[in-house]
Amino acid sequence: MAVVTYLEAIRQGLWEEMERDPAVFVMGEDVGVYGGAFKVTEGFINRFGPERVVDTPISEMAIASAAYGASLTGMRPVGEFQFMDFITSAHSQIVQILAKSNWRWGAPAPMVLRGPTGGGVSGGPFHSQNNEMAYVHTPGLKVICPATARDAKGLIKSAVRDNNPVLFFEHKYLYRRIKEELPEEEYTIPIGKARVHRQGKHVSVITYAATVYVAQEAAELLAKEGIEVEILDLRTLLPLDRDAIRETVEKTNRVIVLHEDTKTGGIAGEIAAIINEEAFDFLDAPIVRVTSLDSAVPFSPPLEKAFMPQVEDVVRAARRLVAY
Amino acid sequence: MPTDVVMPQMGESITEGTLTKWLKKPGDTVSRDEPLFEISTDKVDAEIPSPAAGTLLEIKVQEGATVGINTVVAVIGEAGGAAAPAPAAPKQETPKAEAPKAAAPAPAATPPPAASAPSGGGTDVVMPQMGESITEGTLTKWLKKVGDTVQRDEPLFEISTDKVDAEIPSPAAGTLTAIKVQEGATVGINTVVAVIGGSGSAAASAPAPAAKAAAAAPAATPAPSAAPVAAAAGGRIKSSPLVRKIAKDNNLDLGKISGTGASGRITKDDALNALNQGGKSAAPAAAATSAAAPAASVAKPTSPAPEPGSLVPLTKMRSIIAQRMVESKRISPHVHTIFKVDMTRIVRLREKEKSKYEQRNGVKLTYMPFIARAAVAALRKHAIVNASMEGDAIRYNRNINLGIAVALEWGLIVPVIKQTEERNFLGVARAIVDVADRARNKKLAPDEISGGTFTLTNSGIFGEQFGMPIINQPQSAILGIGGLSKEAVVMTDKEGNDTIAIRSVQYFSLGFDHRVIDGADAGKFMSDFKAYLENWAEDIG
Repeated sequence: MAVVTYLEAIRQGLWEEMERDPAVFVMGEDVGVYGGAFKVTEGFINRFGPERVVDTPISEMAIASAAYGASLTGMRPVGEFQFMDFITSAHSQIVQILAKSNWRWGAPAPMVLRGPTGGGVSGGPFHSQNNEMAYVHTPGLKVICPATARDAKGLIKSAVRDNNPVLFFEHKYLYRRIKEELPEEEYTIPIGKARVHRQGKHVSVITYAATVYVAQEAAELLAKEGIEVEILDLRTLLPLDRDAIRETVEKTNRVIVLHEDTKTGGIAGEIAAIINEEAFDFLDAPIVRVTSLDSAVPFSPPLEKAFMPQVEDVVRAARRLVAY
Repeated sequence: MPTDVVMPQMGESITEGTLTKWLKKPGDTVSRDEPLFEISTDKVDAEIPSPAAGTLLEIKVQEGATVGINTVVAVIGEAGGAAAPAPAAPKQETPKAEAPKAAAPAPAATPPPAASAPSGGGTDVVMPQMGESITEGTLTKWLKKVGDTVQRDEPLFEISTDKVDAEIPSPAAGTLTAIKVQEGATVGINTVVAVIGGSGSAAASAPAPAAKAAAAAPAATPAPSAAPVAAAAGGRIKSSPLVRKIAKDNNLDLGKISGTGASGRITKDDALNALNQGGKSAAPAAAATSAAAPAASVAKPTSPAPEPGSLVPLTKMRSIIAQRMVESKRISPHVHTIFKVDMTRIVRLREKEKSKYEQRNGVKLTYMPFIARAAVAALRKHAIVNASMEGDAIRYNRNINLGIAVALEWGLIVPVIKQTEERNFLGVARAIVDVADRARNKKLAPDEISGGTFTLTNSGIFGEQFGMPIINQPQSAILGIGGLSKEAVVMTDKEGNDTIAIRSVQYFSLGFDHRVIDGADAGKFMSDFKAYLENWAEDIG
């Protein structure tokens, strides 16, 4: 298969699932006639028709609710939020209804809510956030954050086939910037399993989404100093792959948790607590968090750069840990 | 009324600083705002002005020590005031800042007793750091008073910080002999707030400087034995969960292991080394005592000298060395060319950077990486020096695999750093320390002692001017590193005036195989090598 972008991989995954199962349909703002604000659903309406590619009013609450209703009748909807920042408009539906549907009424809600998330593109505070933690905190949901084109395709397919409400956060910075050769044959990636992005032995960097590439660049610089960094790409935040986290700590004994999400309430704190509970005896140094600052995302490019974790931050943290 | 001079906080996130240089000495008169000392922090190096006018009475923190912000570093008194007793040992010393580690002959040594402070002992109780970003705490309440007996871990005082209020347990058992910080005061983390035990004299009793023995002289024989144990007298032993687990699983006594980590912490490697040594006094990875030589020999154990007239069979290593040396001389017509290099620029750079460098990067800054980098640069330009004779042809080796000759107790070995040209300065520094260390601990893999294309050998540590080393076959050249010394040198300035200056110089001797390399090649190689060192411009990281 040709080399495709992360965005194209998602498009392919959705298309394949819609071909495979007539119960699958997409809905969202501008997904039909316009082909999607980011062109993820370009060409879909011509192939699958307006009943399966539904343009909705501008209401994330309506998208979430209507998708939920459809899922109760046997459909498998994929709702799109044009920017995941707007998920907050659907917060009540997601937390109170979607997340508790199976628990309260024995009524599974097999649906996906997906959209672009994250910053680094001068999108400003309303179009650059990382909102996933509010939903990682909500039992009953699944939360996925892929970093590679291959994972994005494999995971969107798994998300569609999963019988739970799945939130699928696509990092907009990666949409067209990363490309990968995908397998010819059909494949899915299991939800809830992390992936070792780079083998290492001196320090582990546990991360996900766009900061996987920050870690990679840092690892290349550190390799010149003889520090071999292991990078663990979480891929799914809920459920978290605790085994993979434990394994990497047992291997290197030094951990950096890196994410673009802000520091307070970001998953790094949760992971640090898990390591403390399950792998304390394997730590040879304190756990370090490298994250964005606790602030709204700035629009101004130099401010946004100061806000987000940079390669140098990871490099310095790794050197300090190795010297501890 | 004397004024305390403290380590200032140079930026919001800065928690400590290294005092790099005193600009005044005790007894000197200082004016207000006159530069008093220089510091180095993560973000900035700065001259710190005196907060008051008067006489510098006492220096409490020595050059090279790293202390928390707001730690008292000196005291200024009335002009002509009596000086306090001799400057006390530094507080909260981060030992990495100081002298090189002592090399440790393996089993023989036991650690000397933990150093006690000049005033007769006692454990310092410090303001703890309750969270990563916390830089100070307020002492809200003393739970004991001077003269009370305290048990270890018994609550001693209460503090309040940005993040948490807490009861702080006593680090030791004994009598509370001095309270140095009153209720309500806010002090920087690691500030001494009280003293338990000891004579209770007012002089600051520093915690036993952990880990690194200050002893090592620059010349040959390393100081014997491991450094004092990682624990402050009677205090907690700094280690980590992993280290404690290793100790528990293997019945190791952490009190007997020297720590080579930050602030004398026992690291995983220290624990594993101790395990390999049978759990006795650990031999931490012995870095060179001589600045120029990671290949410094570990002090030979005191084995009895052979009986006069006796016939001692060759060891395997000795017979291999004998064979190889003869063979090398037979195969290669050896020529040696000797160059004198002015190392003053590098000596100064190293003096300035070495303590920060070690803290920042966890590896000692010696002269070897400078020399290795210069050799790599020159080898890139003069590939013939990195080449080998193969039958009727010359192999121009693709990579520069640098051999570093290491003298061992039982002989000599040359571990190889592969693809040295790919590494930056810091990478080379780390690699040199790593292979030398593993060579001494017999942990080299077979492919690490072969495949070399050029060798560095350091014989200068014994005080020689230069040597004439034998080539390590099948290489075509070997660089002998002579001793670093000061000489009177003629220097010509821009206008053409000659003066005599005292400069640090070092002689380098290139031994080369005249079948492959001609005098001109060798001369050009050495000329570039010399220029690289004399005009050092590389970032050392």
